[in-house]
Formats: sequence, C-alpha cells, structure tokens
Amino acid sequence: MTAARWTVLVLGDAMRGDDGAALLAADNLDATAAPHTIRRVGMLGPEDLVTALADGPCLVLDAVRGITPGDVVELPLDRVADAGGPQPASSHALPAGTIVRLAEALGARLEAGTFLGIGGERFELGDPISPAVRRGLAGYKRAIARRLGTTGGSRCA
Amino acid sequence: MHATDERTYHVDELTRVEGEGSLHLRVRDGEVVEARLRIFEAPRFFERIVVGRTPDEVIDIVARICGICPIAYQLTAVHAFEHLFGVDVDPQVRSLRRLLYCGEWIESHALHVYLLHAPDFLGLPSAIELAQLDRAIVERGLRLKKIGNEILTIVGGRPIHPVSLRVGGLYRAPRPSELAGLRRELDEARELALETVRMVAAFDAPAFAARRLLVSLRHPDEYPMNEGRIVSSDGLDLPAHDWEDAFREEQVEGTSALHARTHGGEAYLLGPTARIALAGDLLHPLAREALAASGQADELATNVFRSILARAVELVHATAEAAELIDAYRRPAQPAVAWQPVAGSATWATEAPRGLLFHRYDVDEAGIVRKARIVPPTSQNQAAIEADLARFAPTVLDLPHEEATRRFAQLIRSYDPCISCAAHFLDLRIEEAPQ
Repeated sequence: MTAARWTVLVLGDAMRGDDGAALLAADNLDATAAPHTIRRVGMLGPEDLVTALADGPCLVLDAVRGITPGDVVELPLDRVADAGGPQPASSHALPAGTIVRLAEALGARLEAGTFLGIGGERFELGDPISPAVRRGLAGYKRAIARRLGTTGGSRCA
Repeated sequence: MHATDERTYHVDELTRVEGEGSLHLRVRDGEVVEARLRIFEAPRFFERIVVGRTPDEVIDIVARICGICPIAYQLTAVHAFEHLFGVDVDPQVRSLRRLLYCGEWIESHALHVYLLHAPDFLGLPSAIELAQLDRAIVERGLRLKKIGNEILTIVGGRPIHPVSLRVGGLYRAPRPSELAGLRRELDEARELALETVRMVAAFDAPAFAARRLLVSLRHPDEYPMNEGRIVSSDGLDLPAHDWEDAFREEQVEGTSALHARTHGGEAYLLGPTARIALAGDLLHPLAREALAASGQADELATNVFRSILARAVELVHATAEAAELIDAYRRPAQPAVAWQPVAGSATWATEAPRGLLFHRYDVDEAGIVRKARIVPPTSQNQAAIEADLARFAPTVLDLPHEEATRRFAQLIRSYDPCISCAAHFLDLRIEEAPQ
C-alpha cells in the first residue's frame, strides 16, 4: 500500500527572528515521519497551494501572531482564510487568507490542507529567535511529525 | 463634507500594496493642502547591518531586503563593488546577470499586473473575485510568475533570496542543458505576455494627465536593467554611479522617512513608465510593436493609471530578451574572476522592477564596509506619489466614501510600492483642515 505523499510548505524569513521558526523546525524533522517533500517557499503564493494540493495532502508551516509564544496551533487550511484568531506572521506579498482563498478559487482542495503554526513574539529584521520559541521548537517538531504520521495514510513507502 | 468633519478611510484592500504604511490627506475648501504617505523602509535597517561586512557578505545580506526584487538589490551592490575594484566579468556572466534581471521583472510584473492591479480596473475587490469570474486570467498571471521564478531558481540557485551572485561573477554558471527547458517555457511566456498587453490595453483608466519629471537609466544598446547612464525627461545625463550629483534625500517633518528629490527640490517618477518614456526605443521589437498596437503609447507618459500597460509591455520585453539570452549562451570557462579590494566609495544604480535603485558603500582598504546608503525606488517615488495624490484628490472627494477610497487605492497601486520597501496595509485618513 502506498501512502499519499505529503507536501510540506515552509514559510518564513530566517532574518526576522521568530519568523524563521518553521524553517528551523523543518531542518530537523523526525526521520520516522511519513513520506513527505519539503518546499521552503518563504512567501506563500496561490500556485504553491494549488500545486501542492493537487498532489496530495499539504502541511503549511509558519510562525503566527495571536497565541502564546512557543505554543503550537493546528488549523484546517480553510480556517487560515478566516478573519481573527492566530495569523501567520511572515511578510507575504499577499495576506495568507487572500492566498488561501485565491488558491481555492483556482481549484485547490483546501480540505486536504493543514496549517501548523508556532506562536512567536519577535518578527523584526535582525531579531534573534526568542527564548520562548526556542523552548517550543521541540514540541513544534513533534506536532509536525505527528501530523505527517497520522493523517497522511499508511507509512508503507 | 462638512467643514468640521474628519473622515477616516481604512483601506484594507491596500494589502495589495505590498508593505505597511498610511496616507493622510488634509483638505481645505475642497483642495488638498497636504498629502503624506508613510511607508516603512526596511532598507534603512540594512544600511546598518552591512557595516563591518565584506562585499560578498553584503551581496547575501541585501538579498533579504525584499522577497520580490532581491536580484535588484544584489546586482546593484555587485556592480557598485566591481566598479570600485575595477573588475571586468566574462560577457557570458554579464548575460546571465541580465537573464536574472529578466526573471525578476517577469515575476514582479506578473504579480502586480494580475494579482494586485488588474482587479481595480475590473471593479473587483481582489484577485479572489477575479479568479471566480475568470479563472484563466489569474492562471495566466501565475504561469508567467512561475516562469520568472524558474529563471531565478536555475540561474540564481533558488527563487527567494538567490545565492548565485558574487563580486567578480557567479558562484556557478549553469550548463546550457539546464536552460533548455526554460527556453521552451519562455516561448509560452512571450505569448502570455503579449496577451497581457492586449488585456490591459482594453482596460478603462481614469483620466488623470500630469507632466512629471521622469528618471531612469539609459544604455546605448540595451533596454536599461543593470547598466547605463541616469537620464531624465528634462535632459539630465550622468553616469550610473553619480546619482548623488543630481539627487538628495531629505528628512520629512514629523516622520522617520527620507524622501528623494532633485537638488533643485523637484519630485520625480521612476519605474516602467519612466523607462519606456526615456528608453522605449530600445525595447525588444515585439514589445515595441505591442505598445504601438495598444494605441496608448502617448498617454502612457502622462497618465500614471496606465502604468499597468507599461508593466505588461516590459513583460513582453523580458520574456523575449530572456529567450534570446539563452539562445546565445555559452557556459563561461570560469564563473568568476578574482578581485582585490580598493578603499573608496562603491556606488551604482540599476533598474529594479519598480525603478532606479541606488547603492553606496564606503569601504576601507580591506574591502570592509564602513558606511552604506541604499535608496530604493519606492522612497524616490514617494514625493511624486504625494504630489499626484494631492492633484487627484479634488476629483474624487465628492464621490461616495467607498468609491473615493477605491480610486485612491487604485492610484497608489499604480506606483507598485514595494513590499519590504513599502507597506501590509494602508490606513487612509482624510481630514478637513480648520479654516
């Protein structure tokens, strides 16, 4: 049996403090996680989601504002487009909600997408990763591995 | 409007202006007495963090200024250092750098034309509604953007914050076979770009004629990208490294922003409109033909709402030139030449998608940067944008709130303010000044 291969879209900018948290987490994912392809896209574009969701399940990783720094939040991708709640913090060319809705209008199956974020507190250029996010990274990586390992289907490669 | 009213417009759609800022208009007797556009300027931060760094470290650092136009920041710095150090690069390296610039223009212009600006002309709130109305239009824009991205990926190493550029050349020159697939895609991109010109030429644009001082680079043989002389519509003509001889930056009262003006105090406009006005004869023949067929070549120089056409025409140019560069490409024997640092001021200007970008690095005898100055196109355009907003405002202030807001937003987007160099949302405030 072949598992659906996950596409992991990693957002953020390593020079903007906690905005680089998802990049750090993706660098050392649990080797036992289900089959996946990592794409470090920095700034999310609708085409990234359309392409990823056409191939199978998609996990979007980013730092967020609106929750305790270091905490992890998991949302169906569809919810990212909603106003309020935790919002991705990366300096995307278009707001994340707009990108998600645009991808949906272009035929992306949002139900196959999941957003997994880590709360951040420092997002200015030149900021270091905050202590709270550094402490939360291990839990973030576990959450990523758990998501890849549970919803992506069988681990048979 | 009542004399004592203060009206505040929150223009959330201006998330489609990339960055963070606000616009404040003061109105007296129906006339705008002050228009102030506040923009967050990331490059100012970078002027500090490059101090103490080597030239090649600077090239990597300045790529981070902007996720949309990293090549412009990198190439301006590369040329500045190479000019000071007396470095001559292989002609094929020069071609690859020009190919990179084509990729960045394609990506940036496609993003702006299709996802940011076109919805304004079609009376739609955003590209989401545009995709719902006509999915093929948005898919065309995304396809163009993707091809631009692929140029950056293959030649620059990756699409965001490319890593191939260095002082003296490139870290690696691609094999011709690596460019073959891209070459086929550029044929498709050229056709999509021509279709883009036809689409935007059919848009109705608000009538807004104004003569502005236009400034761009001009090269004797090529459409301006990374080399040439700085020229203007009033006859200025000086080397690309002598920007400071004609322009200055000044602190704007009540803000932390610096605005650029001529030494005579004049505001000026950069970008595709200025490039076509000052160097349109050097466009690729296909782009020239497309512009002529639009029937709007004359209006382009005076009506900034037509800047969307200028970007579309430059899409044709960039796709056509990129294909020709690949056809003529031969892998250089060495991707880079050695260089020795020289103490002095490294200065240069190139044409970012949004217009002329100037860098200056004062370096010591070891090549270490001691002082830096980065003047992005958005801050150079800012005074011209404010002047245009003041001119334009009386024509829309009597319109319903929502429509006036939409028109202001459309005008601001016409200048394509840059993401890291400009704004995430724009807070538009119109205040009736006391008598």
